[in-house]
Amino acid sequence: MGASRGEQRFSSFVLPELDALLRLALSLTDQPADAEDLVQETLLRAYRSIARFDGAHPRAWLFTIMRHAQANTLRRRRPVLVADVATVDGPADAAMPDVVVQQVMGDTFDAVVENAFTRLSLNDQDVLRLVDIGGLSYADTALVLGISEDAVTSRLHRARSRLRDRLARSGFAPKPRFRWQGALS
Amino acid sequence: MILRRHGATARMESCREAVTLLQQFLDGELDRKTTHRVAAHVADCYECGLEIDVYRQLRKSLRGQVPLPQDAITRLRAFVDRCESGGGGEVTIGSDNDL
Repeated sequence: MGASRGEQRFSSFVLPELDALLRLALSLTDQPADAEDLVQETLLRAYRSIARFDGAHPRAWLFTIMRHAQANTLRRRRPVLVADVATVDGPADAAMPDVVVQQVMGDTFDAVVENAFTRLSLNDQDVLRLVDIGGLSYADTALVLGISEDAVTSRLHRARSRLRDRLARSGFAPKPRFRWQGALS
Repeated sequence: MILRRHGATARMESCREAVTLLQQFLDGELDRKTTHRVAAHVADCYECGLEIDVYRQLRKSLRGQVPLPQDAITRLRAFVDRCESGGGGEVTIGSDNDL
């Protein structure tokens, strides 16, 4: 009783991406249980739309589904207050002040990175999630975000430079010799 | 002295170029020839080598802050199986679905 061609395609596409999907979901949610639910919802949506998938860029396809699923979940919970993840460019809120982070977590490299990450704009957090946490190529990240590869490069450089600057100010890295001066987009 | 100044200027320009390409080098996004050029420079330049180490640690930190629970992966594999055997119509979402 073999699987149909569509079913074979589905598991062959998604099983290699489970780790990356869960990693991305954990970075998007507050609780591991919510992350697992988000991955399940993504898999279900992917299964139902597999016939429309051309087989190219499976990780980018799944990440796009996940982002939409998460945006819908946030809109259901806070329909008025939460803006679409893809369009917000301002600083993320609810970042702990440095002094609180130091008191609670100690002055560690990881704590500084984590706090600096929460202070980035949502667009910058997005690109770091997809490339650094999700392992997407620049081309696939551009597909997921609906922007050019140049824009991905630019946002990534900006986001990493900001984290790096924070590390330098906290004494965890030397001051950068050159300021990155790419175009912002 | 002129030669030394010229050498220092040439090296600085090479560092400036390397720094603009470091992110793409780190992510494996450069063509082979440019990758080799940057790799050769980084191997030879203490400060650029330090710079790329900072970015490597930064990326490791970002990834490391999301440890993967293996029991969740096991449940998700089972979920994929249920999607395929159930046609996606009867599967419901919830972390406490029984296997």
